[in-house]
Amino acid sequence: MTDYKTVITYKINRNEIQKLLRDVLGIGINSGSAFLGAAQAGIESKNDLRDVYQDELKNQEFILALRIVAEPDLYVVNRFGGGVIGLDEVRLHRKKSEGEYVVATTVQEEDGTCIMQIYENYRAYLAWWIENFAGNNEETIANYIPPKISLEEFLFVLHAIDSFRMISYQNMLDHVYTERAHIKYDDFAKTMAESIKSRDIRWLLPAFMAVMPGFEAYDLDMAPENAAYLIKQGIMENAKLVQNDELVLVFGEGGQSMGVEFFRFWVMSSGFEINVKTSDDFEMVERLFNAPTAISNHFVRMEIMDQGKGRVNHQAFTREQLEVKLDELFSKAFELDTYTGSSV
Amino acid sequence: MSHTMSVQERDNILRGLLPLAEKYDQLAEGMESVEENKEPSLEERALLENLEGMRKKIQELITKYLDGLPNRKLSRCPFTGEVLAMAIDDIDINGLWWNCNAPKRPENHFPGTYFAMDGALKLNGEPENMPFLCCPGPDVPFVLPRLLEYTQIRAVISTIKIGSHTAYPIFYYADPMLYEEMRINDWGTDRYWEPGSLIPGVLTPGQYISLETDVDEYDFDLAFWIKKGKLLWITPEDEELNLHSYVKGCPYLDLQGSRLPKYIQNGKVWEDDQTVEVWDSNDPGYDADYILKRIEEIEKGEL
Repeated sequence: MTDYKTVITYKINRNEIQKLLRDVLGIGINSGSAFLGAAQAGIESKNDLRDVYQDELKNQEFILALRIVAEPDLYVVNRFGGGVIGLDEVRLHRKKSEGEYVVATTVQEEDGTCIMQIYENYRAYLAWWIENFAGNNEETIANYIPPKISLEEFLFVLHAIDSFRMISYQNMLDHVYTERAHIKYDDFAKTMAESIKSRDIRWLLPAFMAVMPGFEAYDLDMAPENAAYLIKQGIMENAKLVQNDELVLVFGEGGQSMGVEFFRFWVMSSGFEINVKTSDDFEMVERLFNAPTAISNHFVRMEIMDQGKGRVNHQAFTREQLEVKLDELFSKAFELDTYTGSSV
Repeated sequence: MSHTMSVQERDNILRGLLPLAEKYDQLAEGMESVEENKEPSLEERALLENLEGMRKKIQELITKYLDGLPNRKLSRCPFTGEVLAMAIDDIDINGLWWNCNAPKRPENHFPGTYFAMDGALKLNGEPENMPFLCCPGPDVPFVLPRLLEYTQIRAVISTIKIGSHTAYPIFYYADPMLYEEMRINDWGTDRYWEPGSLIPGVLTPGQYISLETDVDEYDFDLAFWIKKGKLLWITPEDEELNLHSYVKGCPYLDLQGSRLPKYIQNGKVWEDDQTVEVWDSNDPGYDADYILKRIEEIEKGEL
């Protein structure tokens, strides 16, 4: 991949963005720009910006970055978070008429600034992302969630993994050792509802919902039938407690493997949403998610079906497979002039 | 709209076609002695016309056979989830689809990730009597490590009934597509279509390639490949073709049957045991006289 180490960084005050663009450079801001939200926040600066930014305004690269960020024809929302790290967001901007450059922006809430970083192209950004946020595994592992499944079924799988983690932590606190962890049906349903409500991204299910940009766009219809998928795929198995014949769920081959993997190795996740300009607005062309562990990259590609239903293609990728897949999907989106097809 | 042939319709086609094709071959063989660039005699001209009429009739019957083959959903791509369906003669193995040396198969529209098709078949009872060679594979499913060792390749095993026999299609998928590696002969045939170029820039893309079957390549330890994430399976009779990637309950493990490819023709079934027995003079029971006698018998054509 392209080297990302020659990134150029600029800083600009949020309350000066709109004035600088409008009054000094005569540039508008479109709906794909990270500046739109930044510019609307706070009170506009009364400083003489030609004076404040006199050095930067002599720099063609600074002006190029502003032009790209203000009026992109493609933007990517890249979120990070979950596990042990908090939620953060970077927005990538591309304007084809300005070349292949992409400009990443992050808003610094603490000092009210916006950081712009110019990358040579999207590949340079992905190289940086892979280096910092992808799992490093070279060996393949079984994909216990083969394609394709409904979003609702997928959420049940995520909670099954979280359930394994919860039980493991609880057993450690209680000094209990068991070869075969189990969970009661009611507890599974109750903890799932609580998990969704909590938005606590230390757990995989809420992390997925928060880190996947545009998750709220899907029409969710959670039903107990979705849990049947867990049994069908060997993630959970029906069982009976010996002492009182109570029906419980035990972790099957898939549930046990993924449970151990996420319990021991999961620390964070990332989400991407690629949007391409249409004649009057932007259309989403890809929604992606990746949860790396020490042994795999759990990569998700979302699809929107009829009536806003979501469908999930989950893959357990090596680092190389992830690189190739991201490059394929990004290059397809970046080749689009304007978006003309239906949702992926 | 295509019409799937009934058992009776298929039977009629094959009854008409196979003897006709045999007769055509005999007559055409007789015409080989006719010198090129020489005006044919009246008798030869009549024979040529007869052959042309037979050729048309044969072609007509083949077209009818191909058009009448059922389209069956056989597999699912583990990368995209796309269902793979193809035209296959599942009435019995005596159809032209199963002709190893000259298979009659219509063009299929496979997923973009399709890489190769292999398979196994367990006979249930005596096979039908057909004049052509049928090579449906060993009794039990297997994989080829040579292919699965590529990160981008995964295989899927499923089940289909071919008449009373049980067959196990083994499809290989690649994402991204793999070139510059020999694939495998299409299941039951002695060739495969290579859409790419094995030596880019030197060989033109698109050619038939015929590979020798190498039994040593077969790996029947399916659990190993499932655990590695390289092999997925579909439950027999699952019309939804759900993919599974766990070992417990996999119906394709420990199946009973021969692991050697089988050959069927004219009602006879035989296996090709390619393993080579090496005798060393230090081995107990080594008998030089016996070996020499056997060699003599082979040379005389007595064996």
